[in-house]
Amino acid sequence: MAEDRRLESLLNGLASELDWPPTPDLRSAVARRTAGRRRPGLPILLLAAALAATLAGAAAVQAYRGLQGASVSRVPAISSARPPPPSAPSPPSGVAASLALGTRYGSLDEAAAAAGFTPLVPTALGSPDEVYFRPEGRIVTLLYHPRPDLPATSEAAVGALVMEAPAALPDSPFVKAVGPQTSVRPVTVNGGAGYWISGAPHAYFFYRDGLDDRFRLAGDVLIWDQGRLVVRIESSLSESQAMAAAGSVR
Amino acid sequence: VEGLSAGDAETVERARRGDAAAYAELVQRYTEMAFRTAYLVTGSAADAEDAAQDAFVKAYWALPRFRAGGSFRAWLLRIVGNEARNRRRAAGRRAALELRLAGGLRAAATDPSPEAAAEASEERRALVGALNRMTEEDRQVISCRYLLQLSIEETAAALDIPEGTVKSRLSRALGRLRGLMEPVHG
Repeated sequence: MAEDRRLESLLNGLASELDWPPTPDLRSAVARRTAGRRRPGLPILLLAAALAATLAGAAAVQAYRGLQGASVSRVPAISSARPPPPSAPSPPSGVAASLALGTRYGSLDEAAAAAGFTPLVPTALGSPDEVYFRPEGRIVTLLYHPRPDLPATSEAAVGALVMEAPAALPDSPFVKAVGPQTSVRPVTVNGGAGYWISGAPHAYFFYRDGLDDRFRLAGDVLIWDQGRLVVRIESSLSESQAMAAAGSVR
Repeated sequence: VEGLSAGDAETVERARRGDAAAYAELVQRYTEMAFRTAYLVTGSAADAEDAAQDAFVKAYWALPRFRAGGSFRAWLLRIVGNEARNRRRAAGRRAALELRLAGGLRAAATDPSPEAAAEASEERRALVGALNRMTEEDRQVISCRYLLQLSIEETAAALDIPEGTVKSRLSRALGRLRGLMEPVHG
């Protein structure tokens, strides 16, 4: 009936004109009451840092922008809170601690034994200067010191981080990033799907299988599927240089 | 109130696997919907806030029981509605909800003249007045469906009644609302 439709139209129009009480911000309270307790059988990955980041920025999470299969959520700030350090036999120190890289191992083989997979090395970058493994997310990190062909990043002691974990990139990656200049571009690396993410001084990347992790450096990131691993290179290298490094993994 | 997000399924799945950031996203996404739904039931902003918060916490621990492929919004609204009704029962009082128009409303863009704008404004005031005179049962079903723009399924979940009951109750409530409006128009 026309009268019903008009009344429904009036009611729909009223939805945005009512004086509702201010909507409270429940995130902190809910996070407090759900954090620190673990649902049986459910892995909690980087919970503290991821939640801290969300809480810091979520109030102003802007529109999600589809970008060739990827989504970028722009936020005004992401907390500088670091992920909790892993329960390592020998606690890391210095930049490794601040970047939450995990436990330092004396060799790639030792890290591989701890991780349960063989890390790949971008031979174009040479042998890593330091090797770490963090049980949360099973992330192996190859740390390269700055050198003439590998400029320092936002961390003066780091030229590049190559991080690897047994995971898979999502079909539609979700990146939470600071800054209007962030761009995400799909690329193909060694036959695997990947993304070149630039202009993201601080960002989180969400993987398909419940794993999310933040980028460590204020640089650009190349991330791609390499067999059963996800590999990412964070550095100050250009896209073509990063692609060349990625193409040299063995 | 936001519409159904295409990203719900993925976010819920991540939250189910223990991703706290994903759950924080869901809390952010649905706080307004949950709070306003609870407000319609309790009639108190403070009770609504408590009910919504409790609902989000309970939903978190119940996530493993959420049926994949189902509507997360409807599932959450059922928990919110229950929490709000429990809180209201515990308070031992009837909801004293009074809907009000926000102040300083601008004329709708479609209003062709100041006279038409004034008439539309008067019509909105009359509509709110009529809603406030309705029974609580009628007002809740109309508010959920139109003011919160919930689907039939979501309205049924929030009010804990079958979808068929939502449809019949809506139909009757709209008829009564029209009746309450007529003296103004007449």
